[in-house]
Amino acid sequence: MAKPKHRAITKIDKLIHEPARLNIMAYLYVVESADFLFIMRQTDLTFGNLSSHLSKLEKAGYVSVKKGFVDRKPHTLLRLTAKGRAAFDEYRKNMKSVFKELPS
Amino acid sequence: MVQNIDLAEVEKKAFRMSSHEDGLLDMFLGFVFLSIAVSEYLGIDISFFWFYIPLLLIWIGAKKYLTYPRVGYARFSPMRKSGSTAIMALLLASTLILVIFTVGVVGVYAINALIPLKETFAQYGLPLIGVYVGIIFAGIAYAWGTNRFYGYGVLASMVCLLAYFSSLDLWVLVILASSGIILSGIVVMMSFIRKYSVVEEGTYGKA
Repeated sequence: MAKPKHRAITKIDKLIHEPARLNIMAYLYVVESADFLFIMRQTDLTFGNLSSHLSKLEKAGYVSVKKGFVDRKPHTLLRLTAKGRAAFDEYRKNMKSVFKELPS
Repeated sequence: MVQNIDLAEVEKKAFRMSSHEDGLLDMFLGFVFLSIAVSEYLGIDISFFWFYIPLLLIWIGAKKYLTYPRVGYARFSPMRKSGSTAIMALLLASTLILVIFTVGVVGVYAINALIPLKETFAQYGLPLIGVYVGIIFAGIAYAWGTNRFYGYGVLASMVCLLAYFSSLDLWVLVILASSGIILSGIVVMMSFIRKYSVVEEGTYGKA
C-alpha cells in the first residue's frame, strides 16, 4: 500500500489554526498571564470577537478565564493552561512538518 | 510565516507595549539624571527620601492609573523567552569587565607616573564612561526593542565626549541631555494617551 502523502496537515489543530485564535494563543504563550484588555490591544480584536474566540478556547480547555474585580471594576484574567501550552507546541511542530512535506 | 512563528518577536512586542510605550521610564531616568546633575552643578544635596521615593511612587501610580487602564496588564515570566535577560546579563558582565580593565590600566599608569589614581581617572575616565553608558543604553534598546534608547545612548556618549574634548561644563551638558530625555518621554506619553483611550471591561466596543 502506498504511503499517504501530506499526513502532517491532517494533524493540524483547526481550533488554533484560525488566525485570530492563533494570535491569541501566541500572545498568551509568551506571558504567564494577561488581562482581557491587554490581549484585546495586542490582537486588535473587538470585545465581541475576542470574547467569542476565548470562549471557544476555554471550552477546549486551552485557556483559563478568571473573572473578578479590581478596584470594584470587572477584570478578566487569562492564562494558557498546560493543555493549551502543549497544544500550541504541537501545532507549531505540525506546521513545520507541513511545510517540510510540501514539494519545493 | 505561519510555520515559524517568531515567539521572541511576539514577546518583545507585548513587553514593549506593557512597559515602554508610555514614556514613563524615559521621564523617570531623565529626572534621576537631572537631579544628579543639578545637585552636582549647584553643590546641593538632593534628599533620597524626599525626591527619589516620591518619584518612584509617582511612577508606580502613573503605571496603575495611566498605563494599565489603557493597554491592560500582563505578567511576564521571570526569564523572558526572548533571551533579553541573558542579553542584559551578558551586557552588564562585559561592561563590568571593561570597567575593571580600565581601572586596572589607569591604575598601572597612575602608579608608574606617580599620579594619584583619582586624578588620572578624572583625566582619562570621562570618554570611557561615555562609551560604557552608550553601550548600556544600546543593550536596553536591543533587549526591549525600544529604538529611542539608542538615541539616548548616543546622547549620553556625546555628552561625555563633548565635556572631555571641549571646555563645556559636564553637568550643564547632563542637565541639557536629561531635559531632552524628559521631553522625549513627555512626547511619547502624549502619543500613547492619544493612541489608547481608557476602557473598562464591560464597556468595550460600545464607543
